[in-house]
Parts: sequence; structure tokens; C-alpha cells
Amino acid sequence: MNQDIADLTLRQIAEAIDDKKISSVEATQACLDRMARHGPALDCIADVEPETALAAAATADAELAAGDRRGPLHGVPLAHKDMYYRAGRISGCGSKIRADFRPTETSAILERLDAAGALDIARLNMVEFALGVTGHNDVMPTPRNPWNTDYITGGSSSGPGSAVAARLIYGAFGSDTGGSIRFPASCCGVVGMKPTYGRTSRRAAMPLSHSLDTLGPMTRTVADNALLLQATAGHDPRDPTSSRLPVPDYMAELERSVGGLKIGVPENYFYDPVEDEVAALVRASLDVLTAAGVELTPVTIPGSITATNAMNSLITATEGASLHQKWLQERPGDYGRQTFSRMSSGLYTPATRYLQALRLRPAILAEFAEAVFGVADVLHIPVMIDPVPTIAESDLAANPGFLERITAMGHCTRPINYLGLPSLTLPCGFTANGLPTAFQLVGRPFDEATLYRAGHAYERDTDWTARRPIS
Amino acid sequence: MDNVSNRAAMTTWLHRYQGMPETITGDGPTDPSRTTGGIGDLLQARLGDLDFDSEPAQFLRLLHDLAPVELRGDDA
Repeated sequence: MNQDIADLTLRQIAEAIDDKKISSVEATQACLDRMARHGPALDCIADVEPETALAAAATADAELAAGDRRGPLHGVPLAHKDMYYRAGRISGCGSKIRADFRPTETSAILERLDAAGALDIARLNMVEFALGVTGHNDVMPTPRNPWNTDYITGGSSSGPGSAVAARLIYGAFGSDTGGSIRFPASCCGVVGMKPTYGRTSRRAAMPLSHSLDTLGPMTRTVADNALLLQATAGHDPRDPTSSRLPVPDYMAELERSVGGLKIGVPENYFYDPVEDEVAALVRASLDVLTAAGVELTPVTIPGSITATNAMNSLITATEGASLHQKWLQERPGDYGRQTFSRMSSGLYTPATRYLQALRLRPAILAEFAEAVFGVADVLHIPVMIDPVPTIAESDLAANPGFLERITAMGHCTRPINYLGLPSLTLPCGFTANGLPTAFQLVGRPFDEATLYRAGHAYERDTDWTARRPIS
Repeated sequence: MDNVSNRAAMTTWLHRYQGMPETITGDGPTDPSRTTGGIGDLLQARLGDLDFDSEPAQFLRLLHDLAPVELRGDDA
């Protein structure tokens, strides 16, 4: 019975709890059982308190029985990357340095999920301070990919990717500064939304790079993802970068036809370093979308895109170093070697270059938007450039030569953060090593609704998101 | 030898201008050219595209202006 409950999607379990066919306690127990069974092997759980979780679930059931439904996620167990602050509870940020950190306020994302009725039953492991694309963590556990535990999960939202794919939880929030939602979504075979910069409030979530950080959901299906973004998107007066634009009805948008929707296919840049096996699977997903009624249109990407991967890295390292300087000086030995090395590199950035990288953003975005969204509604591109590597081969301590591939991993993801655009990652098959791969749908600013519509149409005609990595 | 002297020069620079300890544990900071290699050249090549009056805050305005018309409403 518990296995069947864990197999339900977030949307299904929310409906089942609302209909009182399944209780929140049963749903939570199903998650806890799977965490107990698979958590140790996957190393994706930072902390879980079963008694607290079950007590919260019992409260949710009692409220529902009394006719008090808090919102569309009432009683649904979730868990998040260990960087979302909850007042009084440890938020370790994947680090030794913050291993005992107890914030005094709760993040806007958690507040909104609480208001929608969701339960927050565990903290999920992550890359140290969210700085890393593979999922390795030198100071805390490195989560494992449930499709094959020898392989990376992708980072930095490594725990969420592993836990959602393995059905330990119905959904999770991650963060994305250069690909940190999209890499684990691709490597683990789940759906990940990196929203437009400013669509979700960043308040009281651990910062890495103020100019690039975005917070978004990771789920098994597109509809699940839309439900979580619906509950959390929108203006927050306490995050001055959050947008005042209204939030559309994402769930209603899902069912709209994609007939006539124009999907741009890049003629240059994005596929340049992509390995043939990955490129073939990504391109094959276009056939499914075409059959669903979209129109494909070729797009020439402006040459300025070639600078954006490096500029994203420069901004991240510089803003990260400005946040971490005190710890870099006083506690260098408490950082993992790679994190210290990458983070401290930002201390060298000339202020003029940092500001030029930021000042160029509007010009490069305008050029990109005219070239892409002048002819298409959505851009279709790869996520990863290679099949998922093993943990051993991508461990820089043992294999420093892999650095070049790690730097190149951001080829298709970092530019999207630099441009501030929304991007939905969707699984599209498996490479010869048995690991998933995925594509991105990139939209115009604040048009997450169209991405969900196209993604839902794709998902309806494929079974990738229904496949289960472990029993 | 070059790497050793480069490391020493970087450590001295970090101490003088960023207040970092002169003795840094582990591998020390990444040579910035490793993670942002060529960024100086990339930015130099784009300087001609930089309008004199541009500033970072214009990015947020542009994101807003590029949003779907139905979301922008009266502001469109």
C-alpha cells in the first residue's frame, strides 16, 4: 500500500488527501518508509524527524476533517534543499561552517508552502553552499543517483534531484544560479523549473549570487511543478528584486492546446560541445512536440551568447566571495577544497570587470530576445553536454583533468541565468549508460505558463517521467 | 617553478588587497584564469556594445518590458 501511495504524483496525492481517500498521515508515512529504506544508500537526506512529520500530518488530517483546508497542497509532504531557512531549525547549506546555523526567520518560499498547506518533513543534502555542478560535496555526504548509485546526481540541488526521482518525496524546492536545478533534474530524470529572475522571492534562502540566484521546484511531472510554482510565485515586498507582475493560472494553462506554438531550434552555439548521443535524444524530443502540434522554426543565436557562460561564472564567484570573505579568511579549513578554491577566486575580480559584466546584461538580453522571441515563443535546447558521468570520474581530487568538462557543463545553462530567463527541464530518454538526459524549454521573461503548456504536451505523449529508478 | 612563484604572488596580492591570511591552507585560491579564463578579453571585445549610460538596474526593467503583454496590463 505504501509503495502505491509513494508512486502517486504530487497532484494525485493532493487530490487524494482532499477527497479523504488517503490521509496525510498515510502519505507522510509512505515517504518516511522510503526515506528509511533508500535514504542511507542515496545519501540525499540531511535530516528527518519522523515523529514531528507525522504529528504535522495528523494535524493536517484533523484540520481537513473539521472542514479547514489551508490550500491546494493541504497535507502533502515535501522536503527541500537544505538552504531554505525555517526559524529555529538548522539550515546547514551543505557545509561544515553552517552545520549548526539556526536562522531566526523563515524563507518566503516555505512561508507560502506552509500557507498552501504543505508539510516540510525533511532537509535535503546539497552541494556545499550551492557552488558546484556535479553534486560532489567534500565536507558533507554526496547524494547518489537513484538510477545508478555510481553516478552523479548533478548539482547543486543534488538531494532534491535524488529524493524526488526515488519517490522519497512528492516534490522539492532547489535553487539555480548556473544550472543547479536543471543539472540534477536532467541527471536524475525529473522535471525542474528555473523561473525568471524575480518570479519567486529569494528572501531567507541562502544566497550565492544575488544577481543570478533563482528558486524553483523539482517534481516528477509538469503538473506537479506548476502546482508548486503557483503556490510560491509572486511579489514579496521584503525581496526588492521580486517582480510585481501578476502570476498567471499555470494549471489552467496546462490544458491549452499547443497547436501553432512556435518552438525555436538553435542553428548555432547550444549544440556545439554536446556529445552525439545526448544531442540525438534531445533532437528526438522535437518530433514528439511536432506531433503534438507545435511549429519548429530555426533560430540564429547572437554571437554575444559566447561570453555569457564566463560572465555568469565571474559574477557568481565575485558575489559569492563578497558574501563568504569573512569565513574564507577565518575558517578556510572548514571549506571543502573545491569550494574554497572556486569561491576565493572571486576575490581577484577587478570591480570594473564585475560591473561591466552586469552592465552588459541588458544589451545582450535585448539582442537575444529579438533574435529568439522575435520568431519563436519558446527555445528548445539541451541541458547537459555529456551523458551523466560517474562520481569517480568527475571527482576533481582524483581526476583533475575532468575540470575542463565541468567548466563546459554550463554551456547550455549558465547563459540562461545571465539572461534571467525561465527554463523548464524535461527528461527525454536514457543514454547507453542507463542514465537519463533532458532538454530545456526557455521562454520569454515571466512566461513560465507557456513552458508548462509545452512541457505538459510533451509529457502526455511520452512515458519518461513515469519511469521509476528503484522499487 | 612558475606555478610556485605565481601562487606566491597571488597570495601576496590577496593579503595586501583583500586581507586574506598569508598562509592559506589546502590548494589555495583557484587561479582566476582557470574559472573565468578569457573573461578580460571577452569583456574587452564587448566594451564597444556598452552604452555609456547603461547601468545594471536596467536589466530588471528590460525583463519586465519583455514579459507577455497580458501580464503587463496597463503598463504594457
